[in-house]
Amino acid sequence: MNSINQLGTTTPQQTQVSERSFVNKTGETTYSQTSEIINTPNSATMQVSSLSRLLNDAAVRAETRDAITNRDGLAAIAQSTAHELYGESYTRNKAIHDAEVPNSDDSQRLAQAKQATAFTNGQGSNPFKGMSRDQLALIAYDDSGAFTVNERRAALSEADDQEYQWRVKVVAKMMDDYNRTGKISAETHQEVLDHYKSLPAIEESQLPKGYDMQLQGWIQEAKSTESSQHKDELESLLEQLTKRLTNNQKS
Amino acid sequence: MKIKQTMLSAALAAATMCAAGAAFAGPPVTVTFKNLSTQEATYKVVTNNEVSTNTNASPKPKTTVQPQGADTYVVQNIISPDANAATVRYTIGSKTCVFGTTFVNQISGGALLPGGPTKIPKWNKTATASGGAVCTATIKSQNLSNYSWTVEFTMK
Repeated sequence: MNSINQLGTTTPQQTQVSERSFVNKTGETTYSQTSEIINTPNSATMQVSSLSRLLNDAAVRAETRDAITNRDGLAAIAQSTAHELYGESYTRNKAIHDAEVPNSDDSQRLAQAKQATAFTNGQGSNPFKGMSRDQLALIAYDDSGAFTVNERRAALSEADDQEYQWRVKVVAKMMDDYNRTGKISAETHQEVLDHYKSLPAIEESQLPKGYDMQLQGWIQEAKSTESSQHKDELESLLEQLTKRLTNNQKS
Repeated sequence: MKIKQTMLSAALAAATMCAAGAAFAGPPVTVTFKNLSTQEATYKVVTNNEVSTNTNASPKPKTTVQPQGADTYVVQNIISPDANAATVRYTIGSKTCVFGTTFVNQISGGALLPGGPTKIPKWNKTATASGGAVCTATIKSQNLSNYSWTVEFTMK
């Protein structure tokens, strides 16, 4: 969300629109809230950033796509998008992608596309750095032409970076659990499940079917082990206390 | 390829026999895959060992790793406390890398020797390239107390 504000001179009102306007797992509700905000009597004076507007439009397209495409279909779209943005054809057509300019005369919009191209060429920062996974997915998987190929590539790259950073953290937590207790805790498995459930549908579709059920199983198993460990510890403590009490009574 | 698959299966089977009946998990391996190329790497599951690795991995390996990007996950088998193995396959265009890593706590000596049989931990890693790929596998660390280890696979 911050990066939207970094792009231009957004007002607090704009931020409010941005923060409430993008489809996530509870997409329909959030989008209708946006419409209400935009259609208030004060909306005429509201300056909605061009990116916010683009994202709102992309959210509608994504919602339609997700509604008519099953999980396998979404996974196939995700796979072909990754190939389009990272594969051989991207490299072959690099000059075309670098020359692509958005169909807009909005200076903010043009600057963002230029920054995305610079970023894909290893110069400068990612214009979408710090955006939410939902927003990044809206850009990366939108093949309507609203976003340039380099913008989509920059968005997918940022999503991948965020995913890797999360993975590094959760893997460290797993190993910390294992080093302390010899097992990965229910809490850490739950964190993985929560992350899985938080992903946009098109990203979740790339994970194996039944992964959520497997995680649920691991959570239950870890919980039962943890509670039996607690029980053993309590029994041992109780035993020690009873012995001490008995010894005290004897003496 | 077949030799390596057999080797992995044999390692797991041997360790399973050593600890027959044990329903404990083996030491986890932290896998880090680095895509050093300028194109995306695709994670694929082909052989039984790769299926087993995927089943035992968390988080699940990403299906696509961006150019110059990386992925990391933990693999832990539930067959034996004395063994673990991971086999993963990545492709970049027509290039393929098949990476493997194993741990076996092998029994050495016997009951007749002073002190009885002892266990010797052994870690191994392999990288098999085809189609012009350059694949490397490096064991980055080993924990001598609980036998967990970290391995890094790279491809270009």
